[in-house]
Amino acid sequence: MTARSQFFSGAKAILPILLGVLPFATISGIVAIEAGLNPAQAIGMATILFAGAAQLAVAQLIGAGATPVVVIFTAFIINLRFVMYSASLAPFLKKVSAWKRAILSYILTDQAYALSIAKFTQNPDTPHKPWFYAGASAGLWITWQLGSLAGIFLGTQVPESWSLDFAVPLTFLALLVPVVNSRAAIVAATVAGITVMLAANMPFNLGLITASAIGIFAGWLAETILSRGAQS
Amino acid sequence: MTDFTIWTIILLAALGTFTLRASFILLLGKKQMPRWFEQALKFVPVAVLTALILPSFLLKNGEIAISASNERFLAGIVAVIAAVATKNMLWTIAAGMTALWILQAVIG
Repeated sequence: MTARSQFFSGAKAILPILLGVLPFATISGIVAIEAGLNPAQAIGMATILFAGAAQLAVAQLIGAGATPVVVIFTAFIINLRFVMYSASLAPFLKKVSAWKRAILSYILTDQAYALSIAKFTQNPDTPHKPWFYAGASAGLWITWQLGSLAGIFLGTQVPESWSLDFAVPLTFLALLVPVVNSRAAIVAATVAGITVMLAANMPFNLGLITASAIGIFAGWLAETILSRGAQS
Repeated sequence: MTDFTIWTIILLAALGTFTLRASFILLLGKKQMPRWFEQALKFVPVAVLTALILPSFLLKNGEIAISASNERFLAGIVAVIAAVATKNMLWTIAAGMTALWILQAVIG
């Protein structure tokens, strides 16, 4: 199998996932416009930042008039998960030159990561692994940009009375449900939820960051305690 | 917010995000991350997403409103049921938005 054909087999493998990504991208475009970004900024965010959940949060916070530092820091926290993916993929991409690894880093997403790591662990002999990952990521990148453009166009047409800003928490909800998959995760969600409501009146929308940090800590603590209990 | 501020936010958020994505693929290579850090990272999505969602459902005009007069709270419950039942983003959004529109027409 050549590098080229492996690239296309990655792109083909991600196709079914793209069906779900397209509306997500469209919503991110609509929401960016509704939050007050101009089309150039919305396109800039989709291409330069290229991270769905963070884009939605950035749009939401800009719309709410949050302090810029809080907006940037929130995006950073949401994207912390990429460190996990980066560490897990790194061994498979180490033979690639540095500038190519920079590109492969830029196009890292939840979906391309999940697909590639599943393939690499199930079939350790897969040839040209970086190309498979690159193909899957490229498919996702193109879909994301097309969906965003559609959303940016729609966003300028949709009246405010449609309350499309509500699609943001709904999208997050759809992302949340599959990851509430253990007792420790339930603890993390509960603690983050209670904290964010108690901190609702904190200045500069700092409640989100505070609640996330405390929730993460609570989840980690719960898991540590639960696993100790299981051992004894 | 000025255009300049928005561009600054986009660029800095993107720079931070790239650094996270490149952390091991480009920068640290074979280095192992500390075990506690790896364990804590697992809880980032669940904590952050919950903290992002709840205020949109439970706040009305900046006040906590867990009542039948808060249409976003009720629509949120419908969406949670849809999300758990279907595990599908489109159905979740469709259920939540439809519930909100109906409730706004009835309550508002």
